[in-house]
Amino acid sequence: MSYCVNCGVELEESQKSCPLCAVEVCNPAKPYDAGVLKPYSSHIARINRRVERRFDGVIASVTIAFVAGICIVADMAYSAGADWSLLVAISLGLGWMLFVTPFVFDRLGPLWFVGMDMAALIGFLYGLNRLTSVEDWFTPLALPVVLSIGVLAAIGIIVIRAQKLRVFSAIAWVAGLLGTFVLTLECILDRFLFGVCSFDWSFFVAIPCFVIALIFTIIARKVELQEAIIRRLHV
Amino acid sequence: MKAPKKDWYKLDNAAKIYPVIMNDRWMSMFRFTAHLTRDVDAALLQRALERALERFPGNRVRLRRGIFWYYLEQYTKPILVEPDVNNPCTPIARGKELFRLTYYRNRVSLEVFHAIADGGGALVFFKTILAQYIRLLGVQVPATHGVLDVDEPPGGEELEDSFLRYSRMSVLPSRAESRAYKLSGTPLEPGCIALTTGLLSVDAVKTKARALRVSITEYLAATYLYALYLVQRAQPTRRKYPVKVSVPVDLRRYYKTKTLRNFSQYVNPGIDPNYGEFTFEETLAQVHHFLRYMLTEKNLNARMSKNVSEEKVLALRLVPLWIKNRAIMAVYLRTGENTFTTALSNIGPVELPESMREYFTRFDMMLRTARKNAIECAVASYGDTLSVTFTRTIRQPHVERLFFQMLVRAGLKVRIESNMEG
Repeated sequence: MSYCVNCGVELEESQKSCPLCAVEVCNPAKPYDAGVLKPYSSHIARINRRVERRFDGVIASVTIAFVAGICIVADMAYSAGADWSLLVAISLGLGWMLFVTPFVFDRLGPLWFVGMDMAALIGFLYGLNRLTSVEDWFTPLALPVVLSIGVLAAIGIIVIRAQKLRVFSAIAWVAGLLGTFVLTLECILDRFLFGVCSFDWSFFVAIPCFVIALIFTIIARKVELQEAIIRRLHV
Repeated sequence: MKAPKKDWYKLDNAAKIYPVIMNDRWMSMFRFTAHLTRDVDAALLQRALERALERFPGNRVRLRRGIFWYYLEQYTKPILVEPDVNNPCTPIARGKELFRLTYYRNRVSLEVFHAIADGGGALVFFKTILAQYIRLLGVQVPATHGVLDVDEPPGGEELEDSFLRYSRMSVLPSRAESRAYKLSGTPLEPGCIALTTGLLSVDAVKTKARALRVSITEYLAATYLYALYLVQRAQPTRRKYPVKVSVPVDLRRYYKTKTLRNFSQYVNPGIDPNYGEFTFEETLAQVHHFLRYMLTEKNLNARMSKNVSEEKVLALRLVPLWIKNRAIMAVYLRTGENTFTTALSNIGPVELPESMREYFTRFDMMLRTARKNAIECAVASYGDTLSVTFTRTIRQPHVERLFFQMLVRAGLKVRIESNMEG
């Protein structure tokens, strides 16, 4: 056994120097052996770097706000009022909401992001309509389409999370919701273009979607069938 | 009384703070390590954990956010034992189980997030896992000495919030305390943590403490306080702050409860250098009398009641969690960590059933440093081995050096080991 000549404590065999005062161990009777097993593992666990991502998000937010501000100021300085710069600003705002907020608000659940993204998309399309066209296509067309996407996405998330669905059930739900969306989309388009809701081309998309949903629902309920499929398709 | 099967649990009164103050780099965690006489068999340890977990549904949980409070939800995925690492008590990923069972050579370690249990509760879980492991080696181990019977169903009282049950709500003292000295230094690399364990003879320390007419905890706390006091005195700062050590107290000693969740309080003995120069003897006397004065059922109940009374205010409970988080964090920074320099947790002697004892040589306890404190200390003993483990997030080991040098000068033999490359 070796002692620290400075602190007077006995040192564990694997210590080359005293961990308290860093004085090197000097024991002629028992020289330091680097091969002795250490009391702790040498593997260092990594900590996830979410904090840095949040910091990156804040930097990106400030940059986007700065660019939007510069555009508006420049536009107002060189023309009578802001016009093109507002398009830039709402585009940047939409981009910020879609791509930067997940980094800044990393504790929020997916439902929050669906809500925020839908709100941003509605705001963007409303602004686009007001700035580029005198005809109102936002209220009869864009708003119902975006809302239907948002509602169906929210239903999908709630169902998949609440029921803790496995892959096959999740695919069934996604296919079913996709079929529903296509039907809704054609109805909205028909009402906008012709004033009446009728189903035509959407059936050709919706029916395969519903069939896929049905097949995957059946597979999800049959464990033996799932295992047989996984066994034969495993990579 | 058998516990009703539940899929989720409310956090207990003390646990409510921990999810709020945690972040991606830090969680309030602690760890027990058992040293066996032979190398650990990971497969057997895994089987022991799975069997023991059936008895501890309150530990097989993950943390979820509610609208008004965080809560614990049953974790259904398998929980695996892991190889140990050099920097223990790293934060647990979100949505995962709230403890970690690791192994390295002849050591088994249990790391626990404070939201599910305190040291007293987690030690029962740890001892039950170890007992199950020893049973799998072919040894008969009775369910005594804090080892629970894994064949019995979980008891209802084991999952209760004993703070709510025992607080009397009559006396509500102020929680305000003066700001304490904070140890500073060069931070270690992010994620790294320095561990220094000093091993002493329990009998020798007990003899020394008795000669001074104090308990082992009082003796170690006074030595620790004095080391911190000397470090502050050596620093060229204009203003001196009181040096205070937070000492957790297991309330199970005062109440007949079987809870395995948090049920502890803390008191902060200290010395104020603004009052003048202190000697070690004066520091020891101050710690001794402070702890004897504070550690009474009445006093501890009053402190506990203060926390419970705040939780019971309906207007506060109805505040959404994201607002509540900010308010709790503000209060914590002002009245929590700011009021003590460091913590010293003494889990006391670890008792095991007779047939298990020969398989173990030592038990250690370690605390993850608090959010803003650079150093913490934890003590455990087994047989005649007293283990004092310092956890540090700064490079300078001045406090441990002074602490152990004082023990050596007092005539105690100290053996040191560390996770840092020496």
